[in-house]
Amino acid sequence: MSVIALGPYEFAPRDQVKNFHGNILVNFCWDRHVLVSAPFAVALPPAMTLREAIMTRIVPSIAFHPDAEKIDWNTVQWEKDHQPWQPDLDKSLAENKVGHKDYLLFITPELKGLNNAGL
Amino acid sequence: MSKVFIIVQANEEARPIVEALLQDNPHAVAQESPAMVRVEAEGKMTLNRATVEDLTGQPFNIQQLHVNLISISGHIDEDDDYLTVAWAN
Amino acid sequence: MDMKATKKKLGIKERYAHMTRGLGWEPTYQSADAVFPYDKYEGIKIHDWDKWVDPFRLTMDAYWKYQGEKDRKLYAVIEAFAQNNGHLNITDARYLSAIKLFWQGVSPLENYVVQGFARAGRHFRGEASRVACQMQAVDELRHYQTQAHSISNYNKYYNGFHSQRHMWDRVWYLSVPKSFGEDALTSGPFEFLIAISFSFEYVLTNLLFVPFMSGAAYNGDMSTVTFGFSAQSDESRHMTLGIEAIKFLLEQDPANVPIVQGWIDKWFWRGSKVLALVGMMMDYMLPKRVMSWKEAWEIYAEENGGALFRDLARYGIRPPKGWADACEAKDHLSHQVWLLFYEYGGAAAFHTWSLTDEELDWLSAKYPDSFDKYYRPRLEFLRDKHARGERVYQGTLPTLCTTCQIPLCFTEPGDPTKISHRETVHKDEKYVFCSDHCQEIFGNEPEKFVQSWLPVNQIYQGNCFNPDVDPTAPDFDPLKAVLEYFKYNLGRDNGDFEGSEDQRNFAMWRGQASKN
Ligand SMILES: [Fe+2]
Ligand SMILES: [Fe+2]
Ligand SMILES: [Zn+2]
Repeated sequence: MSVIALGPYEFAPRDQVKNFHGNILVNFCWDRHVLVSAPFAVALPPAMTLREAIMTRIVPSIAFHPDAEKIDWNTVQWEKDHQPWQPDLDKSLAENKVGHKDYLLFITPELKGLNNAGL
Repeated sequence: MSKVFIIVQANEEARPIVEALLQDNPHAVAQESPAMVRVEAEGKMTLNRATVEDLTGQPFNIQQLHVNLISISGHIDEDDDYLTVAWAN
Repeated sequence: MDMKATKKKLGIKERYAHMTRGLGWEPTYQSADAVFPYDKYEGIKIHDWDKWVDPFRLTMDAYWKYQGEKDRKLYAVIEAFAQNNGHLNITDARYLSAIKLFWQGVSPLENYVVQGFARAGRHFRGEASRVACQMQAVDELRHYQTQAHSISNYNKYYNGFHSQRHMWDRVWYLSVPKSFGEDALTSGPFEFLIAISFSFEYVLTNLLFVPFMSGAAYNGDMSTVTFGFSAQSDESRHMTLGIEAIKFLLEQDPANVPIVQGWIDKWFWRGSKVLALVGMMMDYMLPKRVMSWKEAWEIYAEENGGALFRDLARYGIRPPKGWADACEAKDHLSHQVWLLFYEYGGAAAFHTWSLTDEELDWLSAKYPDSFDKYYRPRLEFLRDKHARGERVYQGTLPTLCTTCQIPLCFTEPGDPTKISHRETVHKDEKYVFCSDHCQEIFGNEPEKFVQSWLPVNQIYQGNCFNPDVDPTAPDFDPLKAVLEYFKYNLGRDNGDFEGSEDQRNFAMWRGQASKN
């Protein structure tokens, strides 16, 4: 289906990657840790390594969660856009094929969240 | 059967409306909350002009209800002498 | 009141017929389709416009009379409130966060609805429908104005009420109601009618005005309860218009049924998301609580909406697609939204705070199936941290839903620890959503939603800084620059209530009011 309109109705997407000054927008979600109330959207240069993105942007943002300091990033499990994913943390986002507006879910099964309840 | 309701402000102008609804619709019940009164009934409920006029001794125009009405649920049938709210199911 | 109803020449029904029928004419210089270019392209077929009836049969003369009376009553209260320092009678200055959010995020919607009905009041072919829409446009303008006049009393004393028109076009959380309103305004006139009159006003508006305004009374806010109920007295007329409008469309032609059903699906879901803000206001921001969001949802959405959809079943209309998911969310919605705003409390132009044990107990009792398990531990943990001087303020921006524009704080239906995320690739571009229903709304009209002005994405694109700002400067603080672009008074409008200027001033003034 599409918009019902009297005339032509076509517009450029507002969030195309070319509008982000060389960055891509990447979404990060910590699975089953909803004390962090929503996933993060961060703008990152595609040449940045995934490890640097995590250390500079994600680690400080989740530090208030008591499980955060227990994360072993080398054993974290990942999903990208809901598919199992095995990134190389020391490779760039581009080399890991992280694209604009992708959804990266990091899963820490041994960390059960606040009250062991997934919070 | 579904419930209809009429909610009015809890004030002196609306009090005879609530009383008339309860008097003419024996199955209706009133619930009070801060600043408002909700009168609800199964299926159907009628506000009669004559009943309000009997209660106050003053002429009453059914459309005066608008001044103190907060909410209403159901299909409305309004004429000079009454206003009915009802669900068809 | 002096209007005589008893000895009048014409009855209500005849008067209505005289005042709404035969007012139009067949145009001869231009074709009717050229005069009314917008009432056919949506695919709605109308065969007899005279079948449109306002069940209240309100005519312009009676309309002016009763509206004038409502305004006289309202302004007497507003005057008295101002003269008697009514603002010091509220339970607690925390309460004002709800009024700030109302003023920032709900009142501007009234203005949008003015525009929408003014347009519908021009473009429908039937005279009675035009009269009804014009009355509603005037009503909605009255709502905006009376809210401005009532709330200006608070603006004299408290933070966060200033710069409403500026904030509306910029602030991240205000894009939720703003995009809702603009979606409706840019629809055809029939979709607008179903969006606002039916889905929002009939099915959902009771949730906004009835228990919340009763809550305002309970918290000593005479001013808000008076404008709220004064507006709601118009709203009950609008609701009636909504149900009449839908019956009219459904009875005119069977081909209208699937079109209307699609609009109901879309607009019920959109409305339920906007009302997440109200859920938070009721459960968290009222120091004295009248009823929980969940109870209000059960009475006004499930019971009353249920009655409505059982009634419409005879036309082949079923409850909206998102109905079951929206009902399931009643246990979670207000908590998830409050926790989001608490975490992003540095970036909101109202205060958030830690709840007392008594308040937590109230929520535990009202939400036996969800609160103790999923929300109380989070609130207590954050409260303890705050008590230790480590108040959590999130500085990294959240992912937004392309359709409802709310951060992805909602969980999967039936799985309250799993964040719900959906995505669609449309013409090589990826789009993110909070739910199946927001994703489906996009899928039905992708060309519309590819234009979504998502505040987080706009910030990263560099479109949310004041013109004199230099993002390359070494000491550039992007978050601060954004909040300045929003026109926040930093440290006064935002942050925790504890230690705020509102808290201090209210305590001081109330002290002065009660002793020499
Ligand atoms: Fe309104
Ligand atoms: Fe309205
Ligand atoms: Zn959404």
